[in-house]
Amino acid sequence: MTLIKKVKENLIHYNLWKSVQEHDSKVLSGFPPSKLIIDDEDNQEEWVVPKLMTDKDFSIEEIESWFVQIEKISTKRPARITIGLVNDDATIVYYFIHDGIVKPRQN
Amino acid sequence: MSDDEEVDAIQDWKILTQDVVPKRGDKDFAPDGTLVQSQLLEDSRNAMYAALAVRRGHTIKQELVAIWYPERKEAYVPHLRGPYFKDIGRPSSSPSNKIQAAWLNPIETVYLCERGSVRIFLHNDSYERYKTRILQNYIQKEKSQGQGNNFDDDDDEQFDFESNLVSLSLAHLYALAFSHDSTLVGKYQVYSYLKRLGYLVLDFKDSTTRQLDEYHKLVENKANESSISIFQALKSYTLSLFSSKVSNILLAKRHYFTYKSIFRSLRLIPSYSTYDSLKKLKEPTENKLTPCFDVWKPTPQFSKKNPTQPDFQIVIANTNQSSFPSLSQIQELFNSSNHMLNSNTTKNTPATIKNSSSGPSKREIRAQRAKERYSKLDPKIQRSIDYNKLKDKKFKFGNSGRCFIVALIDNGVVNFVNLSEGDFSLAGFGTDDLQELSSNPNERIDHGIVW
Amino acid sequence: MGKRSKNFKELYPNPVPITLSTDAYGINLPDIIPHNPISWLIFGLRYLQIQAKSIPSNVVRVDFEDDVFKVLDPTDMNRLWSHGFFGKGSLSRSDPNWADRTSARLGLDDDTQQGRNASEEITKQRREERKRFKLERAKVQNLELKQRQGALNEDEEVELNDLRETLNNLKKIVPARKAISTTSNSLREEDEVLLIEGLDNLEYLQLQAVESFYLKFALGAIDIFEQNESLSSLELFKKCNSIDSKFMLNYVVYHHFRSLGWCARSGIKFGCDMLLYKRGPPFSHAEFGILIIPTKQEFINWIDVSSVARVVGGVKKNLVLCYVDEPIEDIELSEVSDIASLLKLYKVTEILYRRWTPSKSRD
Repeated sequence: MTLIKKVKENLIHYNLWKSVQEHDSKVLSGFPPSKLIIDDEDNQEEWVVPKLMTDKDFSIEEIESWFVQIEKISTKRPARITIGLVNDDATIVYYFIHDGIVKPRQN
Repeated sequence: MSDDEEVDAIQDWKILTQDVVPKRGDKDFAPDGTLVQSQLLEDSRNAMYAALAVRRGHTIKQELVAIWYPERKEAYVPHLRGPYFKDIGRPSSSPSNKIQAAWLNPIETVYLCERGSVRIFLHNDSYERYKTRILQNYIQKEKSQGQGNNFDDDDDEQFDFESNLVSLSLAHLYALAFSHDSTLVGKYQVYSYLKRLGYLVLDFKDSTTRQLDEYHKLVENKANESSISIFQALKSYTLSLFSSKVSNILLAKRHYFTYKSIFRSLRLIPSYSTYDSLKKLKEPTENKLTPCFDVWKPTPQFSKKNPTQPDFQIVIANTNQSSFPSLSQIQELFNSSNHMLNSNTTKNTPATIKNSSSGPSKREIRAQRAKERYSKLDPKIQRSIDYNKLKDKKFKFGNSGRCFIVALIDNGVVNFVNLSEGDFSLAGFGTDDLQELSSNPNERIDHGIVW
Repeated sequence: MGKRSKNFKELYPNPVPITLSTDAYGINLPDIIPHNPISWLIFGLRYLQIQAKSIPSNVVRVDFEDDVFKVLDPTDMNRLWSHGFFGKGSLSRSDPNWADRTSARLGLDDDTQQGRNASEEITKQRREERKRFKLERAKVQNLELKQRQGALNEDEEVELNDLRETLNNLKKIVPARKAISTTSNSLREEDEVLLIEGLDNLEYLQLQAVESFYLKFALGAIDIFEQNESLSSLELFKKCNSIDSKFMLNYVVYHHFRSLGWCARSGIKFGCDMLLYKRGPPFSHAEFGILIIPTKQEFINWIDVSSVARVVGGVKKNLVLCYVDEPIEDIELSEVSDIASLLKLYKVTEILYRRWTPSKSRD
């Protein structure tokens, strides 16, 4: 099972997302069971990029390439993507990456 | 507010202007387009200015004067007054008993001046001549009237500081005191912070030689004790008869009767044991870290000449000058700390702050109940509870209690970190107290095994 | 609290997946009273009785697939989890309970509570409560803003006070355990597939490299297969070193604490290398967070260490710096034949890192 398939499994069977699709073996799209952030639209499509926790290569260029790639697939540059970091104990931690500055959320 | 947040919070000046201590409000989160937040800020600022504008001065009776000697980089205090000198100052040796004076180092000088306790002047020849005159005067009087007599000094010549010496502003003093050594500013920051909290602070005294001596004695004593009983030797011999070893599998294939024995058989990785750092002292490293201060909690009886063991010892580190200390540096610091090797005290366990205001706290009530339950238990069970509690304490605070505090200065902000000598295997020195509490005091057991 | 811990002690009585012969055969070895020769005799007899029996063995199969170590059989998964809390369910937070949770969620179970009491469900409820609280709080904050702007009318003032009271009550409520309701939306396609094909266990227990190596080399409790070929300890050793560049450092510390009886788990959730539990995750929260530092490392940033300390301290755990001395000469891994001897060339030193607040230590 490749990295992207591991994250896909986790999204579908652990986080209970719907209609999760792979794109170019690099990026996933899908719909979480409920809004991820209070201010989101209902039924907003989310984008997830899988990555190994131990992968030391991580740069702004790489992040930008994800935004560009998703724009190609969905014809719209997303305001936010999610990175899914896969750890060696099967834990996958997800972090938001916003395109630009966002107001911090209240806890 | 969590503990961490409480400590980091900025001083609230508005407390000084109110009769009642206000409840903590919600944190302001983001600008909301009204004037309310800016008004609050303005009020806080004004409260601060009002507090700072209060007139401050010196009482003439208690007046304390110091004279700064630039060549010595020290200040001379001719008449010691006030409670400041329990830890501050080095007594000045003088041929006359009448002269009770002291020398202050740059940090002590700036501290006393900055808090407004001392007026400081720049030394010159006229003062030196006056000093000599007074001294000769006293010596003559002592000769003629005998040293025991406390002669009047009311008719002594007084020195007019204001007219004869240059009065130093705080800025001028900073320049004179700290300019020759850039590390002094950081040291001063830590010193003044601790002093303002009420601690007693002296320069650090190295105790490596004493620790080494005590360590050698411990080693000698241990060699004289018998370690393994014949019984245990017999046990392990018979066990080995019935076990078989598979290559590259650590646990031998045999019958096991306790999990403790399994863990014992799994021990493989060498690990540090308490006081090992004293085994062979390495050559002092090039970048050996030297602690700066010995610190005592506020106490009414304190003797500068014969102080008790310090409660804390402080090393100063600056984040833009040094990286996190290496293991050798850390162990060198343990070795130099003022620690008694035979004592089984794990000091620096945080004290509970006594809340004397409104009766016992929830925590105190719970502790009282636990005490009551404990007193009703069988002594064997009590011992086992004590044993486990002591073990937990050793895991958390260290087995020996050897430790030091790093005052970490990061762009002007000081934070303190305690680095302590850990020992999870608990198989060497410093385990006598555990041995006494264990269920089988005659058998040396593995205290580190948590099962 | 006392009742709960009693249950856990019964549920998880064994710290390693090795069966004691006294448990396997119900034969207890009596204590020896040194000066009583009869006790020696009884001990000797029982001892020989046990030695005559076969050594209890229960080896679990582990498969190395897709670059990870997996346990696929549900009984084996449970054995490794409940005997020392090894591994993590690939579709769960810790113990592999995906099948039970999904059964409960899809209404397939028979109310036997297994899926419903999973820690995931408790967390889910807590999160929902918190969400509701935040919605009410947002309403209050909007009204408070209007108040500051001076634009609040009478009705809104009353509403504000009511909402404030609601918030206070919400804070006090202890969430009651509810029965799980199947999601209000219709079943997902993905779940329909599961129902049609029968609830196959999609989950496996994943072991970290250090866990696999410990279970194989130290305990001899597992057999590892790659493409149905079994791997020896040595082959496993080389494989672990190839998938984890810091394997030796991690393993040395892992073995050190496990052999002292601690339950050692991944520290990923709290930004450190390892977490130490005295008995295991179900019993209590971890007490220690471990940060592994090679002794020879020259420059360690203060900021890095204090960041980890802040996170670990924020969750009320104690930070332990584990320095590892590595062997002086470089080791050619392909030439290693005796793993135990190699491991003995390492050394672990623990340094405790605690925040000190001078304003609180004065008494």
